[in-house]
Amino acid sequence: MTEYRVGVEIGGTFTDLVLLDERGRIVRRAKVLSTPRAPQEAVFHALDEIAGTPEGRAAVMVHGSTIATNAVLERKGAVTALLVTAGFRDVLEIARQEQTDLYDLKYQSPRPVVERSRIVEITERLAPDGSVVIALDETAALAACAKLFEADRVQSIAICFLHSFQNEVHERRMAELLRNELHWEGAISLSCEVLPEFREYERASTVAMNAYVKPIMDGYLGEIERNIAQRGIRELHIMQSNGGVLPAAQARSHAVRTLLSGPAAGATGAAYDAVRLGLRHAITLDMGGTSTDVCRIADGRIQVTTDYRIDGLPLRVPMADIATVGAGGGSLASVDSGGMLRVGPQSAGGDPGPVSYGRGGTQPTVTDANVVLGLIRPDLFLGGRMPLDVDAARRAIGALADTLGLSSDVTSEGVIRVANTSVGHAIRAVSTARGFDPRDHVLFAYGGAGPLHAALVAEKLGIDRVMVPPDPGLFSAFGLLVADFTRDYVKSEMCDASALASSTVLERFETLETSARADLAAQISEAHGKCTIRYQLDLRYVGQGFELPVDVELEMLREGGNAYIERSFHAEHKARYGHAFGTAAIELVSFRLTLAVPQVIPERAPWQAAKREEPIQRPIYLQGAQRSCAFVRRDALAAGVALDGPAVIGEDTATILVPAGWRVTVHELGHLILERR
Amino acid sequence: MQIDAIELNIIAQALGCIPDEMSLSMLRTAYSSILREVRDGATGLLDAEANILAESSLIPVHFGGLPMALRACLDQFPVGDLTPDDVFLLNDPYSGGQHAPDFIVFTPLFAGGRVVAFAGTVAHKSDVGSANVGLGGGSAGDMFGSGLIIPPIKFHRTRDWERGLLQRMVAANSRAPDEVIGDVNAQLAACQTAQLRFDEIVERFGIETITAGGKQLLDYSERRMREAIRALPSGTFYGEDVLEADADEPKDCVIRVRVTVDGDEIIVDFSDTDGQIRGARNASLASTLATAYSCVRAILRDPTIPANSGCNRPIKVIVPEGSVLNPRRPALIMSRMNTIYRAYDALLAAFAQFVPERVVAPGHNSATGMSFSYFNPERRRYQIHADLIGGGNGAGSQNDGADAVNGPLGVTLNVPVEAVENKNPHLRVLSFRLLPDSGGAGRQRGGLAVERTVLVLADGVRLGYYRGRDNRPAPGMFGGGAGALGGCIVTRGDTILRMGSRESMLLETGDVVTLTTCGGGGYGTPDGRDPKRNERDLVNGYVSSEAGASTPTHASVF
Repeated sequence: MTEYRVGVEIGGTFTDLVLLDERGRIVRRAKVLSTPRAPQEAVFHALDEIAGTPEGRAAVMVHGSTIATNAVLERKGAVTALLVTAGFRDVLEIARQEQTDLYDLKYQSPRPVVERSRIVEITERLAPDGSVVIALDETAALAACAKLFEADRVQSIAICFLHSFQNEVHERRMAELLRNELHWEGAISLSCEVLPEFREYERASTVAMNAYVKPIMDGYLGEIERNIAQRGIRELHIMQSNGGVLPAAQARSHAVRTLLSGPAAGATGAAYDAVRLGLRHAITLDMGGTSTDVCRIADGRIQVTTDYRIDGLPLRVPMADIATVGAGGGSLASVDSGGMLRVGPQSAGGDPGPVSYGRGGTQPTVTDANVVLGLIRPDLFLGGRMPLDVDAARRAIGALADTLGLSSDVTSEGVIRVANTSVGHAIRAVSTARGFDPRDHVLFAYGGAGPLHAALVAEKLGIDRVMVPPDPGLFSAFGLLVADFTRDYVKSEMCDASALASSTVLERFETLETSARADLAAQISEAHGKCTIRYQLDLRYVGQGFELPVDVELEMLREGGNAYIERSFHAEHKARYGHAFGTAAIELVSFRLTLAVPQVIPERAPWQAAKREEPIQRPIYLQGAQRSCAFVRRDALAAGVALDGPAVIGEDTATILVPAGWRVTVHELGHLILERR
Repeated sequence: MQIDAIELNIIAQALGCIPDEMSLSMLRTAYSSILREVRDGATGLLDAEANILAESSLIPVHFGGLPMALRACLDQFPVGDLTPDDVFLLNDPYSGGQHAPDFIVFTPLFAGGRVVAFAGTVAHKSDVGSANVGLGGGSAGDMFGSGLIIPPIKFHRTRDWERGLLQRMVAANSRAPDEVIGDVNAQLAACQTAQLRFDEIVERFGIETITAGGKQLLDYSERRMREAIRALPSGTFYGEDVLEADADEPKDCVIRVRVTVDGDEIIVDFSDTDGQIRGARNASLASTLATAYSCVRAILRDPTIPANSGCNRPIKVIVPEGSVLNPRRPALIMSRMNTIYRAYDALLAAFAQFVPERVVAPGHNSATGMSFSYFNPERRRYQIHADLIGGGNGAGSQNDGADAVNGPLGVTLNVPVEAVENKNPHLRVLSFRLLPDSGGAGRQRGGLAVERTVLVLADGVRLGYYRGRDNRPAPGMFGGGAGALGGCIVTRGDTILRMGSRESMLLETGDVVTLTTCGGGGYGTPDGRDPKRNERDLVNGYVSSEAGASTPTHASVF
């Protein structure tokens, strides 16, 4: 497969574009302001920037957008109806009756995406084993739906019946009735398709959200497709929250799977590079203006979770297991009334931005602290297009320092340390809290501010290697282009694991695999390469309420039978929680299958330095002392070059800090490898 | 050792995440539905002087008692004698415990060979061998009817727990031994997590810095609380609420509180509260303290103040011994939640006079428990399904009360219907819905109550039930209407059997149990309500008619 491929990623402030040539080299880059009201506009602006050039003729576009997320956050999705089992109209509103803030007397529950007036009770009932207790009352169901359609302009329908993951009969029949009897032509989302998984509230919430964003996604993708067709782009792929991409057609029917695609794209790029660079485990550090996202990568795979909420509403499709903290370059620093230094979560954002931007900001930020310490060169910020006001930063930090009775340098470094501590806790949340030691990982840093903070964060956690890819500020767009095609499948079936014949397990996986392969054949040409399949069982000890996904090798299962499953679960439980109950009975909750088709991508091309330039020495304050520090441009460093810290390496979209006690080497693919000496 | 403003933040963050990781560890490995799904538990990190340094965000009511409980243990077992294998355990409500089902577990955290802190966990147990199976039920005359009482004890984990003497004793005294033992194991797992994380921060900062930092963090929270209290108007205001008579106690019991704001201190004085009562509803001192602290914190409402024992220093709570809020041994302390909710509402009534914009009208503010206990003849085991069902919150000056939430003292979750049915084939949930018109009318409407109906598919299932309000609904405030009252009935053929406020009943195949909770009170007069919001309420069926939206009286369901 040798064609140009373009990745376009929409972020909160900027929309980024990266174009890879047929040899896998980044040949064009673009960064344009996002257009939140009509996000596609920014996509077209970015594409305009590469239009007309010979390399502008990409054949494939991979896209990560915030369209579905925004539809939920702003409650601007489709007018959606939800059909539920009679007696359970309030499944979304009662939820788990959770009040997430203990001391908030005025607590408000998250608002469901479906209004209560559009939730219709249908007479039908299944038992927990899936057997029919009350048959679907078709006449009454049709009458109730007809009545709703009359009263309201419904645009999308979700169906979620109790225990439907055990038996799809009533949900499917209901959909048939809507199509055949009521001639419904709009979107229908069935819980047995979107998420055939146990726990009615979480399932209903997920399927309702799918229905809610589906027509929005459909319209948006239609517009993108029409536009890019004129530009000669033949294929459109969409990023999902799990770090894989889907052909646009599938993204339409599973819109809910794209809800958190932004942070997943960067993590996927990191996973790809980790494999290329021979790293086993890594933790990503994506630090932007207002927040930092971190994600763990194990054996070249990003870690995923199904325990996630958006705006308080559960969404149980697999997504990158990302921890976020409100610490970024724009995070505001202040001393509170009790005498504690606070950094974030309030942020100056991009507007007015840090004091040193000179656009009206008055309260010092993390970026200002970095400027005062001398780590950011005021004359070369954003490639010299935006000179920074150092004096203003000094004044703002100085005022803070006076309050604390400390020097400006100590205060600035304190601001950085507090921000880095928050970032450290996010890293612990995806490592130690999950039973993994951060020291067994490489910190993979990108985003505008990530590479500036990474080594200091690493030092606190005992991590001694940091990796910074080329173009860290555009890394999410790059991640889009290296993501595999993936689809996740789940099927709940609760039973005693020890009583389950391994042949039954194999059979269930086979059924899932057959439908997965059918989906695949319908959507992706064989040209994309060989698919890999990951099999997992969600297991727990009898009596527990939370499951652990456990990887299953079919070969081992055939040989080892149940004992193999039990052994794997005990081991996973021990790894995750520090103990296992060797003799306790185990229960199976769900089968999971992930199908992935790797992209065929040429290797990253070798790094070539653009020009020669000797480092210059400038003073900085860091690690408690004034120091002389080498400053050099990244494109002046050839592959194989090594440099001892303290050193600051600058490029257009980011600054990389190599503290004293660290050494940086340039990898042949252009990655900077920082190591503690 | 002086810790600067920068270091203080860094240490606060480091200590703060330990209890959260502990609770993650505990909930994920818990066995009973009351712990894993309902999350009736708490975790915290305490210093060697039994101050809470940091706590997890589970249930507020559990925290007030942890320092008392740890002090009770340390009185018996000097800190110098502890080894890393030692565990403290207690549930005695007269030694800092809440009530018999709440097991409190502490383990010492060592650094440099000595004890510098403690990990503390609380978890509600599904059965500790009380006179009745499940929730509710008639009451024994004194504390000995509430089940196994464990005074502050010290045991060796390896010797006494893993199939040891203590584990066998505890198991033998429960109808659900696997759940109880499994949940204690989950508590121990949380303590293990605490030791691991504590080791890490000691390595990072050193013992001296951690110890000094912990002390200064307590001082810091105290300063912030005092500052927040100074922003309140000074004065003394009175509030009261009534714990209604029941089958055991023929007289209403009045809870009276005088709240004094004096500069940067608050005095919460329950001196005039009625004496202890017959029956199960006396509250332990630990739960009364927790109620006062929680309510003050909610009124001050500053989430940036780290929650630790320093927060409680400017709050003086006076609770006379022998009162319903601090009874004398051996009075029975069991169903305390509904008693301390009345204390909470008495506090809200007092605060409403100082700071009307900060309070909300009382919500359902009760614990409504429902349990189905079934002795499975094939497995020769009890199967107990217990659930706490939420109701409506009270409305505030600018907001409607939230519908179907658990309440300010017991933030617990319900059990998914699919989980109930899967585990209990003898039950089928017929409905779980909001009750229209159950929120008190007002400029801001009270939150809605819920109804759950369950069909029983086998003989021999015992229903346990308790509720908090009989004839006194959640009142409205400033002209708002009261919320609806709840109740519980059993429909057996043509007969309707009404459940008392704390009762149990043996069910038959085909019985239908219908439980409703209470709605929250409204705030302000209904005629001030935005017509658009009235319309939304009507369209969505939160109220059934214009009348429902404006009737200031409560709509009683039963």
